[in-house]
Amino acid sequence: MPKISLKELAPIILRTALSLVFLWFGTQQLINSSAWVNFVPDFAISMSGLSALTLVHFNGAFEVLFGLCLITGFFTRASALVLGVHLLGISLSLGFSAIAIRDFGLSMATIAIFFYGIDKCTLDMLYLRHYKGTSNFS
Amino acid sequence: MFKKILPSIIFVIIVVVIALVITFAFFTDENSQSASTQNTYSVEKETLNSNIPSSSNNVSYTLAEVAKHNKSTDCWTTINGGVYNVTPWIEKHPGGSEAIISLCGIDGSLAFNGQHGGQENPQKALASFKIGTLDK
Repeated sequence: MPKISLKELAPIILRTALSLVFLWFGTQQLINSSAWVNFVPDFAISMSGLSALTLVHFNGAFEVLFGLCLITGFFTRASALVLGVHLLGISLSLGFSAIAIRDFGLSMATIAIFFYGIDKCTLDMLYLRHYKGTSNFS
Repeated sequence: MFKKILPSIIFVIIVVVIALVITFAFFTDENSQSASTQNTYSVEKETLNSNIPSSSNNVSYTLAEVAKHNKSTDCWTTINGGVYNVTPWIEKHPGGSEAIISLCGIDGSLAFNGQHGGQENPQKALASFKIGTLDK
């Protein structure tokens, strides 16, 4: 059993907890889509030419897929960057409110995962150990 | 540098394409289903509000009347001078049902403005539940 220090545990906890946030909201948008339709900004509908419901479904699928990649640590940095920027965009579109501040904080935490890179409990690390013979990667 | 990030770019493109495929392959049929659900929902809402006079803006309620509707099965709240029957919204609120239940029978202005103040879409959603104004 590999030893994991508290310092090494921190990014694992952060990554897992944030992944669960994206997975929860993503699945909610897929299974309870009608409740989210009112939250789709008008500019997204006019720019994409898609219905609000389709945008909710796409956003849900997008968050679930990248959330799964983030929780398993598959392309950790890329997944964290995409989700972080995505959530930052959402928070900026919300104006100045409690939800926007919360989302801004979560997006910054996700971007922090991007800056940190891969941790010990990721598929990326497993790949590096097995196929590249190194764990020195960030 | 580009060679190093190329796999990540390809990965992101693949995931976005998969998300698009999932959206259009698995939810296209559901779109119409959801639309019908929304219609059903509107009908349910109308049924729920059928006991209430139709000209909602002309009807005024006192805080004491609002306070009687303080259950999750019969939930009224007052926000910024309007009275709303938010019973159908409890199970559908993206932020969780508890947030709405906590407003049943009371003045929810502070909570609503704190969470959604200045946001257009929550205002629109709220407006659809209006049944009258608060009698001061």
